[in-house]
This record gives sequence, structure tokens and C-alpha cells, in this order.
Amino acid sequence: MQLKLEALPENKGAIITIDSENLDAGNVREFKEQIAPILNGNDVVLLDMSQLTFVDSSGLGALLSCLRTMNNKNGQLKLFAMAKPVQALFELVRMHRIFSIYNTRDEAVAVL
Amino acid sequence: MTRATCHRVSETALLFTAPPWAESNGALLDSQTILDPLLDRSLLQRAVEHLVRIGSRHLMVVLGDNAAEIRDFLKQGERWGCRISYHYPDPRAPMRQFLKAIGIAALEHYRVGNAWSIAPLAINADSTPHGAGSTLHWQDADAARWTGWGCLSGAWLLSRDIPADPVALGASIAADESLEKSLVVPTLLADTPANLIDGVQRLLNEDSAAVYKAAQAKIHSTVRLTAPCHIGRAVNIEAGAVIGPHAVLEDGAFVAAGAQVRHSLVMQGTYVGPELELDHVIVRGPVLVNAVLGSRTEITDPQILSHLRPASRKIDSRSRVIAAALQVALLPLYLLLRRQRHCPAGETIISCPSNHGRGLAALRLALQCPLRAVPDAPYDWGRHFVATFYPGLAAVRRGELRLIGPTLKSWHETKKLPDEWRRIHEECFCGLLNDAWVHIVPASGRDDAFASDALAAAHPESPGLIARYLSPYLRNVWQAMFDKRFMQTTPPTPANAV
Repeated sequence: MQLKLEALPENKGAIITIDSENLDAGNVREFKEQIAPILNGNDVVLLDMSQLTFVDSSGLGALLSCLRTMNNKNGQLKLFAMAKPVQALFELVRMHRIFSIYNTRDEAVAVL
Repeated sequence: MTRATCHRVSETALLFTAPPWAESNGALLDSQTILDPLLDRSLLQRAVEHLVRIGSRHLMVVLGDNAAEIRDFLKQGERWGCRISYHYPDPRAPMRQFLKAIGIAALEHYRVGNAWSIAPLAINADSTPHGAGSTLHWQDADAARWTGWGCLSGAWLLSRDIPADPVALGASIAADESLEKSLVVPTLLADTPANLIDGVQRLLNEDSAAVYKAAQAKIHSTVRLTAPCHIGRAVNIEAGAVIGPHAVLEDGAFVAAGAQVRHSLVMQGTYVGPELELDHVIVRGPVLVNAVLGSRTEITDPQILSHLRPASRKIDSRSRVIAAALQVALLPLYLLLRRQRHCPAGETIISCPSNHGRGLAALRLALQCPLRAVPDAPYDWGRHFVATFYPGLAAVRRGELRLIGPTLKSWHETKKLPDEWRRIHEECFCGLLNDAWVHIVPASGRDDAFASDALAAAHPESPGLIARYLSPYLRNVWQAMFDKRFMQTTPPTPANAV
């Protein structure tokens, strides 16, 4: 699991690309460890989900923890470019009502 | 009213799939309503057709509940000759930011529609829009309310600081004096059961003032039919029944002998019992809504009202075959672990949503120990296997068991859960061959527990995925055989349990 970090224009926050096809019990601990300092250091975080094709319950739990962390400090976490299987999963479990999800990176950036 | 600026109407339209009203009367009118067929076509389909008819070529569908079902039904819009894109409303960003992000331009006018109502064809493509735009309202008992339809300028949409939510949009539109408002009588309106019945009756009068009977409907020769009424596909009406006027029996409905249906809506696959009289009601399965009073009753006796078809999600034959094969393959391992005699006997009642309108039944499954989700502890994996997985496989094979979540919950425990979780527990059908069971997460916090329950609800059941989850699970169970606590002959105390 590797997270690619990119700064948003005008230092508004960070864009994180999850460079892995899976977010599951096998790599969720690593994901949490890597993302924690980024969440703490930025008020706005955009998460590029385009590489992910599989998320399990551990992965969902980790994403919910990220959202809670950002909400607790009045920050923003936005997800974009979800692959269809992940999108279907989010819809089935109604998490699209909890997260801010955009179709493309441009849409996610435009909303800031 | 300023009429200085004239813009063109964009071919892009916004279609909201959540209702624009703050409250909806009658519990039957949940998000499923827009997908239920009404006179052959659902409200959602009618809304899309309506927008295409008035000139929209690209529909931006703003998803609410039932996002997956809506996406699955509309697909890319090929069926209607338009393009459909889907957008989730941002729960935290204001409306103007959300609309700006999805590409709404200030210099154009946009048709806005809502799948919960169908307004007459008053917003046509030929009229030159001007100013902030125009909206269609209907006169409610106390005030004029927005139908959910209108033609609004991009500038207006992008200037309002309201959340991306149709209810707030409706309130804002109703209060804004810069908008041109027209009073109409909507063709269909699903805000209350009474309005829904009225709308369906209006459609019946307009579309077919006679008896419409679809293919494969079986009507006994002694049935008395009074026009207008609509009888859908594969409807069965038995001897002596009285149908109509203004009766709508959707596809697969079954009306037993001597029943009477007038001014009523019988939803898809509903069984109406013998000698039952329905007048000004909506029935869907065991749920009966009185359109006059707006009250809702759930009938517990399946002989009176019930679903004819089993609920949509059930354990299929493939899962049963896999369960049977696993049961045989894992029998030696199960017997070996069972030989360890330290688990106290106990029993937990598992809530089990059943089919055919009987409501929630309870299934008793012997559980030898309370289970906790602890990762990387072979002892707990072993306990899980002995206590739930193996007996559960037998129940899956028989098609009996529906469990959900990493922690077993009784019916009473389920009732105490927060709304979002309870709904998942009550609505979903899960066997033991789902990832949340086989792959217990470290449920250390509320987020993890919720995510596991939610994922169990989704349970993608491809054989590859099952294998992916089973292999580490079984590896852990195998290791449990060599765990010293499994070798004990006395029950472990809570202190040494982990």
C-alpha cells in the first residue's frame, strides 16, 4: 500500500491517491498509519479512489474513521473517481449518504 | 418581475430522486415508491420520459436512497435516447457549490424535475426563459407548494446558499419572489397516499377510460369489472371478485374469491385475501395504507394480505451447494475442535426476516460461547468456527438462516440499534457465506462494527471472493487446534479468554 500525496492549489489541502487495488484487512493498518499524519496536517483532503477495485469491511471502517477524524476538526474529506464495484458497495450500504462523493477530480476540486 | 436577461434552455436537466417535501405522510411512501410500477410505469420512468419529451437530452440524476436500484433501472439512458449521469448530493457542501462542481453554468436555464411528482407539460422547450426562471406549484390546503418541477436559471441555482437537498431547495423556491410561479394540478403526486390515489385515478381517466387488461392475466368468468380499471401482467382474480371503478392491480397481484377492490392501488405481487373489501387504500404486501386517513397498518395474517413473492434477496441454490460442500469438507476439523470440552452451553435467538408476510420470525441457533471479534487470535477463530460457522452452514444449506454482522444479535438487541444499523439488520438477508462472517474485522470501534454490518448487507457472493475470505479464516481455525487454550479441559475465565 502506497499513498501518493499531492498538494491542492493555493495550499488548500491535499489530494491522496490510494495506489492499491484493494483496501482490506491485509493493508488497512498500513493505510491508517500512512493517512493519519496527512489528515492531521490538512483541513481538506481529497481521496482519489480510482485505483481501488475492492474494499472490504475493514476498509470501510478505515474510511469511516478518516471521515470522523476530519469531521471532529471541522475539516473536509471528499472521495472521487470510484470504480464501479466500490461505488456499488457504497450505494448498497448507503454510505453515499454519509460521504461526499464526486465523479471526477475536477468536480471534487471545484466544490472547494 | 425583471425580464431583462434572456438565456437559452440547456439540454441538460436536473432530476432529483429524493422528495422535495419536508415530510411524507404515510409510511408506505418510502423511497421504493418511485420505483414501484404504477399503471405499468414507475414514477421515476415517467419523470425521465417527461423531461425527454420537453427537450432534455442529458439528465443529471441526483441520487437519494435506492441509488443502486435507480442506477440499475435507468442505466445510461439509452432506452429513452438521452444521456444520464449520476451525482451524489454532497451532505456537507452548499447547493451552489455542488451544482457548480457538476457543471451548472450561470448563463443557461435548466429544467428541474423530481421523480416524486409529474407536473403537466407546462415547461416547454419553446418558451424563452427569462430572469430567475419559473416553477410549477400546486395549491395545498394551507399554501402553494412546489411540485419539484421548473425551469431555473443557472445564476439563480448558483447563488442560493442552501444545502444540496431537494427539501431545502423546495423551501427556498417557495419563498423566493423573483421566480415566476404557476399553479398547476400535477398529473401524479406521491406526497401523500390520498394524492397518489387521486393521481392514479386521473391517469386512469385520461389514458384508458375502460378496462385495461395486460397479458397473462387470469380473470374468472364471474368477476365483475367496472371501468376504469387497470389489471397488470399475470394478475389472477378469482371467482366472485368485484374490481373497479378506479382499481389498479399491478403485475402479479392475486385477488382471492369474493374480494372487492375499488378506488385502490394493489402493488406488485400482493395477495388480497378472500372477501376482503379494499376501498381508497394502497396495499403493498402486508402493508395497508388508508388513503383517506393516511394511517398505515401492517397485517400479520398472511391469509388477509401478504407478499406473494419471497423478498428479493435470499440465499440462492449456489450458496446452498457451497454450504453443503463446505460442511462435508470441514466435518473432520469441526469434530476435532468439538472434542475440546471447555465451551459452556447456551442459546441465542437470532432474528430472521422471513418471507410471505409473516414478519420477523426467530430462529434458535445453539451458541456455545459469546463471541468477540479479536484478530489474529486462533482461539477466537476456533470458537467462532465451532459455535457459529459450522452449524450455520447446515442452516444455510436448508435455506433457513439469515444472519448479519460480526456479532450475533438477538431480535431484542437488533431493536435497540441506531436506525441506520437496525434497518440494515432488518432488511438484509445474509447467510454465513459472507465476508463479514468469515473475515471478522477487529471491531474495536463503532465505525468498524458498522462497516462490517454494512458490508455483510452487501455481501458480494462470487465464488472467488468466498474463497478469498475462506482461506485465511480456515488457516486461523486450523491454528486454533494447536492453541493451548483449546487444549484445556476446563472453561477459560474471562481473564485468560484472549
